[in-house]
Amino acid sequence: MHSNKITLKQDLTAYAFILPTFLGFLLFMVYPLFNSLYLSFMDWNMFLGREGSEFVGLEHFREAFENEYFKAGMINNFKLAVMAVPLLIALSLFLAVLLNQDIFGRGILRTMYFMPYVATITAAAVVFSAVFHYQWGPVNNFLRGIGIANPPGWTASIKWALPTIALFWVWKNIGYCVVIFLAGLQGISNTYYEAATIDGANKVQQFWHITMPLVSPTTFFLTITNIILSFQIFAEVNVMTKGGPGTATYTTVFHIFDQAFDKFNLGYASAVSWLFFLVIVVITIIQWLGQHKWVKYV
Amino acid sequence: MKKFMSVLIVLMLISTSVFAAGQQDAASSDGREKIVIHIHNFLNDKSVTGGLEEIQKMEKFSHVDFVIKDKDEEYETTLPIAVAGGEQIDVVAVFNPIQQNKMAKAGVIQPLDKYIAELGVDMNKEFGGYANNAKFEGKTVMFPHQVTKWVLYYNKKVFDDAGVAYPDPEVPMTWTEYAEVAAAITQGEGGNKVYGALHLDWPMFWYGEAIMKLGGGEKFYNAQGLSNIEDPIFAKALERTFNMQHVDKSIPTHADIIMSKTGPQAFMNGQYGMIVQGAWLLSWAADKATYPRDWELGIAPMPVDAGTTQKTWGIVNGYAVAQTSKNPQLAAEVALELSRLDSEYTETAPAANQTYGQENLYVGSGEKLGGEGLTVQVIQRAFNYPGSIFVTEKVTGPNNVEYETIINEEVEKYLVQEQDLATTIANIKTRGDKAITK
Repeated sequence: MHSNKITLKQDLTAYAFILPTFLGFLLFMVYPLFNSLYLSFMDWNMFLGREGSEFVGLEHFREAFENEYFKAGMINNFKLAVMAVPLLIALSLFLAVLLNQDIFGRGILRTMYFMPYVATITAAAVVFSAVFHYQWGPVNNFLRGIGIANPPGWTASIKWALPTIALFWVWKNIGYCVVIFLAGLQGISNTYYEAATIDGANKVQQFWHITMPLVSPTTFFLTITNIILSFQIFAEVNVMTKGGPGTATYTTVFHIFDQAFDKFNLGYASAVSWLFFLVIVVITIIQWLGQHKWVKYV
Repeated sequence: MKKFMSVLIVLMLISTSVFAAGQQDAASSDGREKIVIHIHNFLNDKSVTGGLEEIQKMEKFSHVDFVIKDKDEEYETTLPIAVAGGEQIDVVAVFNPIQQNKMAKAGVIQPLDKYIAELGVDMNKEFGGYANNAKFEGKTVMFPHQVTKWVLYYNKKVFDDAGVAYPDPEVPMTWTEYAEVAAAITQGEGGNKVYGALHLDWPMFWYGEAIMKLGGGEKFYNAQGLSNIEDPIFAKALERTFNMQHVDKSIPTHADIIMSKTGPQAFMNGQYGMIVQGAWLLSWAADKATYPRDWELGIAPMPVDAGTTQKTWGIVNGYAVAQTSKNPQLAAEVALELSRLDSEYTETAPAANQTYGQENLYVGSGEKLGGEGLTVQVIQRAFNYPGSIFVTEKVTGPNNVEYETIINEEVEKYLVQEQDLATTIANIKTRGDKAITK
């Protein structure tokens, strides 16, 4: 009896600790989630509330599939993920391996790579846009200086705008990925490398047959989270290109923002949010199922 | 001890909340009212700031505490969100007819007719013909503030360097001639390039010729009330703008303007030969501390579609009352008073309100710019040229907000070379008709 009382008290104490977070979760995650589902079936007037709104069923979902900006946004999201995520993962693993060596200035280098991650996106994007300005930017001035008469238009070109955004996104997030990879690399026991060296394996062989498999859970984690993050890209697009030129950098989250807060179509924006959520869930499930083929948990 | 501290903290929180609520109650129970004014860029205008100072000293508003919110560069996004969130905002700025209809249709601002009736104001007497510009679906939704009129400004140094004669101060160029002049005065490459003109991503920079020919933004509809974008004047105006960007390279490309976030103030940096703008540019020209320059400014009539009659365009902006006003009757009275004070203090643009004589109009600018030939008389003549035709610069008609958005979206795709002209016109027609008839 006494023991039960103690257990109950301990449980209550534990629940009391998680209660604020749980309330926050209910208030800021669960309620908006289900409210947005409700809104997606309504032609919602955000200023007049329920009285000024009407039920439209699946109309907004049908509209989304007919909306060329939704389609452009989805296509650009896929393009961005394909361009940016593999580059980010490969580059950050390469840098993490280098920074895991006993090289001069390792601490400073690690800090420098991490700095873009903690910089304000807006400020960084403005600077990046200025650096890549097609007419006055130092990048194109340099390219002209070495004899390239027609350097890329970067964000001012429909061909280059999305790759420029991808480049910025990679630069911004590489520090975080490097840190996570470093943690993964430091968890690999040196004994594997010592044994491989005795067996005559060179550094490249060691990388492919020891480092890559043993760091694969980290790679999987970063791939899955970064694909989700790349789909959620908004601030970079909003600051650098506003979705343009034309529809060159128009993304789904930008479409949701534009519809909700510029055109006040909150119901439609909610429907698109749910469609987008389902797409991300499907992509994540596919990755989850595919991990068995390449992720090694030791 | 821990228990005691926890109880103490909770008690402190509760007592603070109760005290705060009590303070709020006291604020309203002593008969004082609060009016929140959120007018963003209107605060750049001395006529507005002068009016705001005076209104706070007026006896009839002595019971009112005015809260004047700072400028907010994201005004058009944050204001609706604040209103949707129930925040008290009373008097707001409406910058153009598109925004006016958008906010009125969505319910961000409210109809004013019953408050106007209560105030006993005759809108036609107060605002003359501009009273009609304050309506949405037959209801008055704002008190008109100013009337903007545009002219052609030019940088004399750019013309001198190119050896091209200045535009005539009385006889307007056609848009075709204007494009030719822009090409002729464009010089240099890369970072040293001087463009013949500066066009912003504002739609009138390409459809201006159509507006002038058709007679205003209300003429963007055909006899059936549908989009008349198939009128050849639109294709002509669009193609001319495209050629200026991509063939003559006499203006920056549309993409560059958007990505660089170039605003009209860029004209003051001396790298552009011409720009069409309203009288607000004069205040930048007069402010040499903020916009230092080694060149002189000239004024000429706006380019026209044809003939020698001067034409100009503009809009009427105004003060509205937000849906979340705690005292809309008082807010309407404040907004009306501000519009009246505009006419007393205005220096840079004609006030829509007819209460005062507007004696200060252009005086400040004329005194500061007289040395470069822009005297008060010259400026007044340029903005109020006898016989000049005034047209509305924005699309005004059924579902104009969606219609103009569609026009902007499709035109952008054309100007950045994502689609051709025929597709652009066809898409505007299809999407525009659907939006208009929705």
